[in-house]
Amino acid sequence: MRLRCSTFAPLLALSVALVSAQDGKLLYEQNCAACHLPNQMVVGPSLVEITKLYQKKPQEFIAWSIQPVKKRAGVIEMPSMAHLGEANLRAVHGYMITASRGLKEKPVAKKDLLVRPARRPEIQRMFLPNVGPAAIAVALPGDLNYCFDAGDCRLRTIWRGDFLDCWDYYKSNGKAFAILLGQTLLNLPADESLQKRVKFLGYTVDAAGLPTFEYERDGARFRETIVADGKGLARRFEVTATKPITLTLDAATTCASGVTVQDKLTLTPAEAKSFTLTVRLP
Amino acid sequence: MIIPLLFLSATIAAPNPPTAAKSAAVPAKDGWAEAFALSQVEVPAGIDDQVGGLAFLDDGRLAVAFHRGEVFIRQTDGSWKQFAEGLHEPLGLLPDGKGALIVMQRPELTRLEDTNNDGKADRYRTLWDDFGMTGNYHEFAFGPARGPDGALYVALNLASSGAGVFKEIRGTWSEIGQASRQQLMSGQTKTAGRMYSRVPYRGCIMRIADGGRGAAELYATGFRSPNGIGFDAQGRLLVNDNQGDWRGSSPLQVVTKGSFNGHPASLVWTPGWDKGDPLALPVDELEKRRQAPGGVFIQGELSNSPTQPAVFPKSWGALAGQVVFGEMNAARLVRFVGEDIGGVHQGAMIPFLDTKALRNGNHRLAFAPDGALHVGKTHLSWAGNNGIVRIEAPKALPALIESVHLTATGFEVRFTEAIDLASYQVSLRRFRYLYHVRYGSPKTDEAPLLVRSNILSKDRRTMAIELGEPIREGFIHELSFPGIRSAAGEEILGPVAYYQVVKSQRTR
Repeated sequence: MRLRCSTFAPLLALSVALVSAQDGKLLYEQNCAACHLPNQMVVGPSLVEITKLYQKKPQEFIAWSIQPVKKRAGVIEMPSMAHLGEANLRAVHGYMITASRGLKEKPVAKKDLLVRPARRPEIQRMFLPNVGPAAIAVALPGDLNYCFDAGDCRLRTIWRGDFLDCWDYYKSNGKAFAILLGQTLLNLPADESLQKRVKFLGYTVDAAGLPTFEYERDGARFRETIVADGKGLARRFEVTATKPITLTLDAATTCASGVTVQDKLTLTPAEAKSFTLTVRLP
Repeated sequence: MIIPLLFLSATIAAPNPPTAAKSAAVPAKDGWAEAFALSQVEVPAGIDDQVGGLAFLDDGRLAVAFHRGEVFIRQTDGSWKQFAEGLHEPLGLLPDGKGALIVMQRPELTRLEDTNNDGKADRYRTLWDDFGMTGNYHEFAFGPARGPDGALYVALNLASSGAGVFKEIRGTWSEIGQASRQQLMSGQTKTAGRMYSRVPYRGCIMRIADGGRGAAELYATGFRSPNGIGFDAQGRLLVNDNQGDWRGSSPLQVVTKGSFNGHPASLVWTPGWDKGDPLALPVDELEKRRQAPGGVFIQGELSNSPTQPAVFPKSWGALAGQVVFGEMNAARLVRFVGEDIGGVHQGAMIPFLDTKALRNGNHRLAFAPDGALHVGKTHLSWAGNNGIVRIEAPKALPALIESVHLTATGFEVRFTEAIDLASYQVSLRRFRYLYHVRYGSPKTDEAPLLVRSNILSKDRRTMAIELGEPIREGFIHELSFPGIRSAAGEEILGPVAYYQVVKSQRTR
């Protein structure tokens, strides 16, 4: 048999007094370390930077931790640490200063250490500028690249040059677009109303690595393969339709089959079985 | 022989000011590292080896989806062969028969098919993409998990007020919410709510029938950042969530169809929703709708960011059938031992593999055919790690808490080995977390618990703990056994359990 009892008040006092630098480490690990690394900005500033800001200002550190506000653009507001209490926050402050001693801020990597030239062809789904969020970037053999938007099932952007620099996206955890490298030759504006008329089905990849996109639009089933064609692109379609299909052509695009009136191309189901849109590029 | 141990209150724990919990899991020597064999799995060269999905194929090979969209398969000779590439932040991977894998990537659920059997996917078939994307970085997509009904289940993350939305979005914009689309487009997120749901099904669990080929339906609402979805051995859908707004500490939700699981933002996707901005509803009303968590990952002591559940296979002995979760923030995993009480599945969270040798960033879990647990790591822009760690199935389990069960008057705690009575002491307390819009919660209503008796079973492995007071529903009951050792003199690893009591009485 064991019997343990004790008085309440002295214990409470003791446990407060016991909050030491040792506890500061544990408190930091349990409450802060997910967002504040010793020498590198992640979600919030590093211990090195916090030390610079608050080394001689424990009271300000405590006040901030109890009632943080949004201070930095593009950085999430810190949740309040009020529940830790002043004594514990003081211990965290002490620990952060100790832990950052002798450390230097690790600069944010300016470039992607894993960067490599595009394999051509290459496919990469990514956040891209001036298109919808379900974008697919494709590098073609040669120097042309395009974006097929799986949200509205349209070729949206064509650019000439190296493929993509995705580092802004990766280093910001998806808060930035990848950069299209080179010169943008074509970018179709948004038309969210198209989304209701289409259904994206995916893509196949041929032996060379070239994708063929599959989708439904107004009940017709499309297969679209985009290849380099001289200075421009050829968009090869195979469409299964029971009614004539109509496509809106941009100024750079023509079609040898069907009937084009102004920017509207109409094809019979028979014509739609196999046709090519030619995109002339500067 | 039964050894009654009569205690009069082993309760010295005063209602703590929230000092760092002296996690019982920081032993002087690293018992975990001695008991388990951990090793690093070599990853493919030249890639960012943050792991988004990890699974074993029927033939025993390991398939891994990496951060930048590659899928590799580790061949039997240990070499890696690339199976797919170009995916957008894949965060889950599921084998789907010969030569096919299903991945959940940011924009869609995709079946990767190798139709010509050359070991490389040549068809990226979109199974389901009928959900919204605003372009907000936090709109992650998790899963899929295969249910006993053959359907696939995926979990969609809310957007974060850490950023706004794209000018062009996918899906129909919801006008419900204080922030206008214009404001969010220009990055003004102040009135959006800390986490927000403005396009379909963000914050929901979705069910896609027929292995992903059938119709999709909204299965449950109420999630924030559900980076862990899976089924337990009995086919219950387990989804955890991350501490934050409306999440006092990370919960484990045992998800049933039509349930609301706590974070209000996604309530707008409830069929027939007519109550306006859910963030404006009284907390009482939300509380009434809310399905209580079946387990709670204690912030700090257990897990700040729980991840994928996996079920221990037979090779793990007494743990077989129990669930283990990853944890991003600490070098630790967490076990969940659940049971049905009064029609509710609830249970105990217990620290596991609490060793620096494991490191943090524990994101995706899978057991190899030989029983070895594989843990894939990630960090993105948070604390974490990278690579893959392999933990062999132990020849014999070390001394651990095997299980915790609620009884009519207290708890029954079973250990994997006979315990040394002289080292036995139990400290019990209860506490709970607040359900509120604010980020996280302190432990509240903390109180030590009076122990009336401890009765050790004949094999000295099971302790029946009788409380001197009624068990309170809605409270986490912490049972800690500081310094406890096995009869053989080994320390009991992870000698603490946190039992979430939703219901206190078995249905009679």
